[in-house]
Amino acid sequence: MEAGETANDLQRVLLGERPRLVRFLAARGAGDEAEDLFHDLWQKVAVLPDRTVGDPLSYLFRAAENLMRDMRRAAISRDRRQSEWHGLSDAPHDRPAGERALIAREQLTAIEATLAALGPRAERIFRRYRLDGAGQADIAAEWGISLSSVEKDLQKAYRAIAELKARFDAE
Amino acid sequence: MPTHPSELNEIARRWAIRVGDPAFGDWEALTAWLEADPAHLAAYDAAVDGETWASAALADKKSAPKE
Repeated sequence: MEAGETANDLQRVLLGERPRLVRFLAARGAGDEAEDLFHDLWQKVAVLPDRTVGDPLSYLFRAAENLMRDMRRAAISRDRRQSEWHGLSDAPHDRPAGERALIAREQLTAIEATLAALGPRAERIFRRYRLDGAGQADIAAEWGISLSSVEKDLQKAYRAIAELKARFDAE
Repeated sequence: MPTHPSELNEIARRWAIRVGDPAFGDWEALTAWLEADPAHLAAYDAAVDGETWASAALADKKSAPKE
């Protein structure tokens, strides 16, 4: 067999690494439901097309991380729908579609301005990292800078974005 | 040891940045950090929320047809 593993091998790795993955899911916010989510993960892996995966364990942790992100997104939109239903919320997403589009545009403009204010390198590195999915090592090589310079630029961008989001959330 | 909120947010963002790298493999260290204090998960979720918020907005624009 070639390097890498097929989906069936992935399931074997999943079972073999069950304790570590369940522990991660629990710590990542699943709590008591970690075993159930492990089962969800098992089902996801079962329907994967037969293909090779470089580092199966890392791949499975990544799948677990993405599962928790999906769960959080679903929980947030559920809460949103409920508060809309009860008419309790005055959050931006409860406003009419036209106003919502306006707010989205306003936020995008603010995000672009915030990134631009960091300087061209930090802005382009953030876009390359987040939108293109490039790794930090590749970005460092592309710019001919150290890994820690890339990290610092990303930290600057993430910090500025967090401050901006906090301002919008407070509105 | 209690961590100042802004320091915790900084650490959480560093984790979110690291996890965002396709080559990230330090999942057990992330597990241990999350387990160390319940406040860590909330800070980490917030860091991921911020990152997702900004990238989704920028990606939507990128994929939207020109007006």
